[in-house]
Amino acid sequence: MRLRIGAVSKADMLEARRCLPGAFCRPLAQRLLSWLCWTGLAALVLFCAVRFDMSPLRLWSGLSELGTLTRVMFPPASGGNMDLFLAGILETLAMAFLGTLIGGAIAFPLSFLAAKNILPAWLFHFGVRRVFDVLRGVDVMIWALIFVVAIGLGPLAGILAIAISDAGTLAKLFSEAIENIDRKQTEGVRSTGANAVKVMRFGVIPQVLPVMLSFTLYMFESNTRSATILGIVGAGGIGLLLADRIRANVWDQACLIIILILVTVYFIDFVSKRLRERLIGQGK
Amino acid sequence: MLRLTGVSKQFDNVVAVDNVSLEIPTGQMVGIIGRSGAGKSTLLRLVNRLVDPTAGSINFNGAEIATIKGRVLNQWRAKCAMVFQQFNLVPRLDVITNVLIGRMFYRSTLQAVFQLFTPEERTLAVMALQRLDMIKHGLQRADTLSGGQQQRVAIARALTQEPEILLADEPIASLDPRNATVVMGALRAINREDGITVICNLHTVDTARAYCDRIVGMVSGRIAFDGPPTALTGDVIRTVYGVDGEDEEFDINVTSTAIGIGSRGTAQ
Repeated sequence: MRLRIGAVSKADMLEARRCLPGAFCRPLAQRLLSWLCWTGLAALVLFCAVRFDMSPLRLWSGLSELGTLTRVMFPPASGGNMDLFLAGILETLAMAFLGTLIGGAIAFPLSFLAAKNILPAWLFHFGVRRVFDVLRGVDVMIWALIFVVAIGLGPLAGILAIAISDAGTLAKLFSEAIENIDRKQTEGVRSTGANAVKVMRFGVIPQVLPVMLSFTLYMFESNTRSATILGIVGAGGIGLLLADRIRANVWDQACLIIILILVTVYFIDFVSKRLRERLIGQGK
Repeated sequence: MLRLTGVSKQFDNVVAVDNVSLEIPTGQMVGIIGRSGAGKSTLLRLVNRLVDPTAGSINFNGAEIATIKGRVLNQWRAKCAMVFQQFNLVPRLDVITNVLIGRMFYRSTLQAVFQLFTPEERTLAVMALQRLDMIKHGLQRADTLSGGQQQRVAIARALTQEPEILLADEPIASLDPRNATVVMGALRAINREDGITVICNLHTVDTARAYCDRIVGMVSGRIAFDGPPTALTGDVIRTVYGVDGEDEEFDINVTSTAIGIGSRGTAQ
């Protein structure tokens, strides 16, 4: 009676095919559809490659050019500007930090308004969500360009750019976190006779707060990276110094700045990852 | 014959399984009872080597199991199939694919990645589903099934592994009495008809009594009782479940979920 692969007979196989044909082969329509999808994807990739002239020859000559650049980059040198570079790094970090903090502070209250399970008025949260989309849909670089024109060169433009675009991203992430909460906890609190705000305080906040803080830290991590480029459009920080060096063909100093950026980003990633792990792991 | 000698497992400061020695002859149906945290789950996981023992020897038909690794370990896992309290199926895959996962050890990694199973294996999976009376749900996604149905799929997956031993970790703890009876009946049939050794963690005494040839009671990681169901007296049950003295007098019928046996008890 024991099931044995060696004991499976021809008759068993016929019987199994009769009982559950789907176990052996997917229906024709399904197979055709998956073939169609794969062929379509391949055709699209091929079309784009041809359209953008992605010939191996061009890639190859580009690579050799990169080789020359790498050679003039080494050894990296400060040219006596080390203090300036470090100040630039700190400015970039400060921009990322303040921008993320302000963005998170704006996103926190808004996210509750956008969560379907908190505010069951669809027209309202539909509206709030479209506002997020505008904030988020415009890239942080474009916000930076706008703010540079509006309030002038310098870190303040960068901080505002990060804050605005983060407010949109974080509000969306926060509201999704609120929508994905475990309903058992809120039900438990509601069953004791708590009103909506009390349910929010004890049934929702304890579950979503660690998630929100973790998202915010991740955004800080990511903003440290993107804040380095903001300088290129004039929004302060290390990016401005880097862009100057590249324009003036001072590649050894540019290389040092890139190394400093890498070290900083690595350090922030490391610290933020540790903090996030502790936040998520809480109470386990 | 499965032989455990002086097996221990320590997690940080907690000794989950403490110097357990046990001999289980081929074809026996063993029920392990004990309070939550007594080490029942860890004991089963040790046998399947989902956790590694900190001390002791696990021996199956003369082969040492406690120290094997790599492919030999995977072969052992295929040979001692496991069924879990929460079923541990892949919810987004259909039932037949979940059952075919039981063939993982017998397929090369490349074949497994591309889901290449032989017609014989597909037939085996269909036969396993037929045996558990789940063939009509064969193409449904696993997460559309009820708990009892999912557990039957999990047992079908275990059977396609062609196991020598079936480990069941609280297989009916999440099921209603009717489904619990169906699942325990299936385990019993696999044991009786196929001669597969079944080791089953249970949290109700009557279920263990009704289905098992032999009952092992665990207290704080040690074996406190080992004998046939007839030897399981009220005093023994009190030792297994109330050893701290913190529990006042309790009625085993209150915790019973088995149909027909001890269903008089109602909670408070």
